[in-house]
Amino acid sequence: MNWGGWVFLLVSWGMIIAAGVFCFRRVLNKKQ
Amino acid sequence: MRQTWGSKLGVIMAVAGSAVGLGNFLRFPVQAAQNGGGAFMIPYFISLLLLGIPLMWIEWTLGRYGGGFEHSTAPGIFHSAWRKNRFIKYFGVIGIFGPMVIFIYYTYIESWLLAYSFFSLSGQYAAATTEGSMKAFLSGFQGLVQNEYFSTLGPAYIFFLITFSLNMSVVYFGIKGGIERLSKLAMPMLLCFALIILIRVLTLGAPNASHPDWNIANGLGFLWNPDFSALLSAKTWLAAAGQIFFTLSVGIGVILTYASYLKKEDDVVLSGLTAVSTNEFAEVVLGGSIVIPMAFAFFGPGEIQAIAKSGSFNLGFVTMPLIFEKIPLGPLFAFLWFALLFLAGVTSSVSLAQPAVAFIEDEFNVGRKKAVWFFGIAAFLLCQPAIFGLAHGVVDELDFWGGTFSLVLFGTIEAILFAWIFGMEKAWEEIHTGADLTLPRIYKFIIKYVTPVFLLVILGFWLAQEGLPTLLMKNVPAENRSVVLAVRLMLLLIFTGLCLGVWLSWRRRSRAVNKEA
Repeated sequence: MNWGGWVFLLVSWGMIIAAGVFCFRRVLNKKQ
Repeated sequence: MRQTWGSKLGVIMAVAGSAVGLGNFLRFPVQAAQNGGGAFMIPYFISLLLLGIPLMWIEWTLGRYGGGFEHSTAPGIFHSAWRKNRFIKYFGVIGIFGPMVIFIYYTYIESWLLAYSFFSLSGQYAAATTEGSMKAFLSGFQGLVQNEYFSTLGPAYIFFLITFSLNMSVVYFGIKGGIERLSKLAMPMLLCFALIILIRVLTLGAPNASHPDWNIANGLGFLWNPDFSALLSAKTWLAAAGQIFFTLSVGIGVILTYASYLKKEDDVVLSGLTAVSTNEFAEVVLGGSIVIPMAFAFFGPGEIQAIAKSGSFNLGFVTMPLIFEKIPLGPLFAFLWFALLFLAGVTSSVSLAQPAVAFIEDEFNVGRKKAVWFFGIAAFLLCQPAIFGLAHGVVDELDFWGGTFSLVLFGTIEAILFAWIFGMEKAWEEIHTGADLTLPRIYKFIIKYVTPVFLLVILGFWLAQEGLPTLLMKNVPAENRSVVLAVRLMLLLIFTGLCLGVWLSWRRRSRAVNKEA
């Protein structure tokens, strides 16, 4: 995989995981 | 008494379960690999922000709004949003028709996954070691041919009966006791199975010692290395928008129904976003790292292009079992693969059954259990053409009308209804009722102008490129045309029957109101 591939993979994964962590933390905190 | 969700996490898991399906693991990687690799993610994320997420919020909000008027399906919800118009409820029929039609063939495909989960452990397809023999195994199982693997459709039919009964049982136990309980169990299991397979994939290295360059890093490269020239093609942008549309389960009508069981003060903004992020994790992180990199590592750069072009079913039911035969503990990993797809399928199919069941319940004052029986018998009969007419293109035809045409049309109607008829000021206020997050004001502009225009452009392009040729049966072989016409007649009868149901229900209600007066 070239560096461009790594950039797209890491940025995509990073954005999705960050969004997921942000959302679930707020949902679960609210629940408590 | 009206049903409600048991918890916030429950409704999020149910909506995410509806969205996460076969497409996340099989359709997305093929679309990305064929449309610019990593560069595909640019139109993909733009479509997510301008089309997918706004439409998701529109459906959650409209659904919760309609639920306040005791309506769980689009005819009643649309009518609640535009009371002055007598015809809008008939447009809402698409939101019951679409999921019902998808349910008819989706349950059958889902039953193949259950069967293959079983076959992977029992070693039924272990003798099929080449692409040709694995295809023959699948064709024999589907009843398309009689061969050394299967002489009748019997085994497929038994797995269909099990799958169908399972779906009906879940819906029978209701929103909280059936769908929510299933989703809270199946979604973590599904993600867990996918993570186990992902770890196995990432630790495969180069499985073929004579071809060290056939490795997972290069397999990921095949999917992720960007080809920016693809961005100049309208096809790439349409493929990205289409993928976002199909992956989020928007435009079907199921999110409207699920959201109608929320309470007035329940949040929709954060919940919708959380369901989207769960779906995206399953699609981009998990779906993008399993099939294509694995196929590349085992079949090499020469064959991967042909495999990617051979379609999702071939990838899932032929390529993947062949790969699992080549790794240690292969049957176990194959089981995890088919079981995860089955769980993804069942959480989607119960959501497809719910709108029709809810329509019978709400609009005809029928108890849930009776409504499930009524729907179950009708759906069971309607499934038969899909099972026995697979060779004649019945599933393709049902997929076109239920899974493509209805989605794009319904999505466009609800976006325009929400932003322009219901009114953006009221819509903005309704979105933020009970919200745990405040939307950036730019979304007021996006929901009002960008999303509807985006949808109209997709609808136009799609009608020109795919709609008209399919409508005119240009790709249907001459011998299948009579069957396809019969399917269209069946679909017309279903649609007319649902319209008649809406008319009867509204007439009954207005008579009851007049009597009281």
